[in-house]
Amino acid sequence: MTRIAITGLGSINALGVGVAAFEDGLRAGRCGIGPLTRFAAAGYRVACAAEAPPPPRPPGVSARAARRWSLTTRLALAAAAEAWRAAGLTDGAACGVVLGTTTGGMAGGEESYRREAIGAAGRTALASWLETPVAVPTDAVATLIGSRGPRLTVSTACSSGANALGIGVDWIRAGRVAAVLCGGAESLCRMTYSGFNSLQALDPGPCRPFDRQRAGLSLGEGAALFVLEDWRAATARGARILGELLGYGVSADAYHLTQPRPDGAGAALAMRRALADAGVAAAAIDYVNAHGTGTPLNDVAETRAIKAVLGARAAVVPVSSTKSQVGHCLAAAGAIEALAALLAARGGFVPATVTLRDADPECDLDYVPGHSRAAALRTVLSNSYGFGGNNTSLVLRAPEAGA
Amino acid sequence: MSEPVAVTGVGIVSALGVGARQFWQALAAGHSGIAPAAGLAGPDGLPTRAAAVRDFAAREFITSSHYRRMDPLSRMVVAACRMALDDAAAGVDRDAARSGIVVGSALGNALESAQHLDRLFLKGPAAVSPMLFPNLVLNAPASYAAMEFGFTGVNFTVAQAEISGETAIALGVDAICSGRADLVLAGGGDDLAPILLRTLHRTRALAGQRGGREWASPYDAARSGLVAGAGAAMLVLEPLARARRRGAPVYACIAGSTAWAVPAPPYGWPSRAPASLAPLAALCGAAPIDLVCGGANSTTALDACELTLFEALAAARGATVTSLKGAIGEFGAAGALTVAAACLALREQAVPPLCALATAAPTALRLAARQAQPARLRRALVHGLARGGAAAALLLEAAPD
Repeated sequence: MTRIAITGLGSINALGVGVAAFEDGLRAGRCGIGPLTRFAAAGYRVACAAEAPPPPRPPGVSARAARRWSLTTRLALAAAAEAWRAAGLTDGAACGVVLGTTTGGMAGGEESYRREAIGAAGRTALASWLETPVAVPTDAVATLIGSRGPRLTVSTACSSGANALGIGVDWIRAGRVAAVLCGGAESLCRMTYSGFNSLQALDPGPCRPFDRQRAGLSLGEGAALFVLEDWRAATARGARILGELLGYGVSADAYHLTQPRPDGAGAALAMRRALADAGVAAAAIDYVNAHGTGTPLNDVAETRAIKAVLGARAAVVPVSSTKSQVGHCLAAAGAIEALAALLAARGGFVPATVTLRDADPECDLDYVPGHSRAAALRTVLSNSYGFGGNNTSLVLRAPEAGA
Repeated sequence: MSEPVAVTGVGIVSALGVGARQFWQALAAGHSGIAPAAGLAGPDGLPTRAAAVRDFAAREFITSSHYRRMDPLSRMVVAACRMALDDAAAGVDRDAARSGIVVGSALGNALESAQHLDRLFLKGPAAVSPMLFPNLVLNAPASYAAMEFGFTGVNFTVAQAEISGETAIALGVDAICSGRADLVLAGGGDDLAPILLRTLHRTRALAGQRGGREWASPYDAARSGLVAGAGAAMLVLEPLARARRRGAPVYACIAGSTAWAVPAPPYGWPSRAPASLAPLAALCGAAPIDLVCGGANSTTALDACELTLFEALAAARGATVTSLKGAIGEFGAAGALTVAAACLALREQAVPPLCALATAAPTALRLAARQAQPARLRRALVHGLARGGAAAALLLEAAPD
């Protein structure tokens, strides 16, 4: 089986701009969830979010050219530029692009929609309409690196970013591309904020995954992109290998549009498939980055699924939700959390569930409450579950010492 | 590619009719689904016409209690899935855990997204419906389909503007070749969304906005823009050996796919053919292509780009070139209907027509007639180009004897 090398990483989220800032924030156990400022909070039940800092403009792009871009596009491009630079590939023409997003440029599109709906004076910007479809950020990322290869936009709600990484793996294994830039990007917008608000799924304060008092999720925004390469091609060109994506697994709950199966069977199936695809035994997993949204149903179902898959080892394997730090970044979440898991394995630490104080009795694993801790990790698992019952798990590994 | 992937079932909800048989009969007769459609017009009175889905009774195809919750797009996609599964008689021996769903949709449930925003902006956050919001995710149709049929295998929803359908089917084929599934329902659907029509109107992309008639005729010298459409098509894909084993009739085989990109301005149609056709030439191989089903939609730049591209493709030199967009209009998942039409064409051994063609654009290629013509068809290329420059192609082969 073709091995998949990770040769580039890029990140932006509430903990900062860049992979180094993300790792620092994870180690320090910072919580990036704060007051909502992106739009007026009036009328909502809650008023907090994990907002990302302004994305830096990619080098070589004029302010004028950048003006048309939606926030999702700008987040994607900031992370893409960092990952691409890190990989050190000189020619993007043959590189593929797979991006997960669920709302595309809705933040700008909905504002133009609002202005027309209320009969506001003045014309709306044409670009705000053209930026709205979900595939547009993918086109922008492909253009950034000069890609003439295959491109694909994955939109499976909150598992989009994880699936984008998985499809990138399959493209390399099938020989479609030797390298692929893939991940997820999502900006906050009123459409999703009001939707989760209407479902009463938002915690009034920072979300508290696995806590007895948990009351829902905190929405976030950001992007994480990976450069994946055929292992042999990467080593042949002397690339610095940042990790290995061993495999992924997908399942559908076929149960409910918004609720997970209470027994976690769908989530367990995705984890088992990921382990089989990776050729790794459950006993080899050193850390699980949980989907861990902080909703009452998810955290119990996911706990059951992890126990079903890891067996007795579930009692000792650390499981944490970094959503307690960067919020739920929807389509970007799967890629952001795969990155968190890889940084943990590379850096020898376990990220914390920073807001966890008093665990739910039905959530009885080691969720690393409060503070990150040092640990030697090698092989890690990242879970992502989406509306519609989409379950995806990824298996990643830090490079061998000295590599 | 490890082994051929067979298409054993076709389900269609379209402006040309519901069901593969009705669709093919109307298509072959040279009918167009483009017709007057009320309530779409923008400030200058256009569009007045669209290829809208008509006479579709979703309840006939969806029996579960989920029906009530489903949005119109999900109903189209789930109904197309049901038709495809019934057509393939795939219910007998399928393993639900090894059965997957891949749906392509450029915009998803744009109709209810607009309703959601209307409530939010005109009445406030408290007026937003918790029943509506879960339907707005792009993967709602694929999720409802998983619930309807109990499929717990791979479940993907993908988008890539006007090639969302081709892209989804290619990904479905990949899922079988990589061993992630034994059966995949693959295809796509898009609705006729006023919010999209307004954007097309703003960019003057609609037929009639730059003069000329409000009609779509791909590869026509007098073409002036697209007419929007809607619909859904889902195919049952399975390994050929498996289809043979269970004695299922095979429409056609999908021998391979490729995806690449051609130069295009931001948000715009590709305006010139790429310097290298290598991905397309590699897909086609040396053997001749008999039928090319293009993505041309009656847009000046796109159709010209595609003709230049096909003219440069050695394998397509003897092919007959057609496009469905004069009959079904243009929409994100139109390519799923095009792949379905290519499967039907290979089974029926007839070239799908260019139903509205009046004066052919200058080209060395043989263009299809205004009605289906019998022809010996062994290999067909389905090709699509999207705004933004993404391109995709699938190679289909007639079912082996």
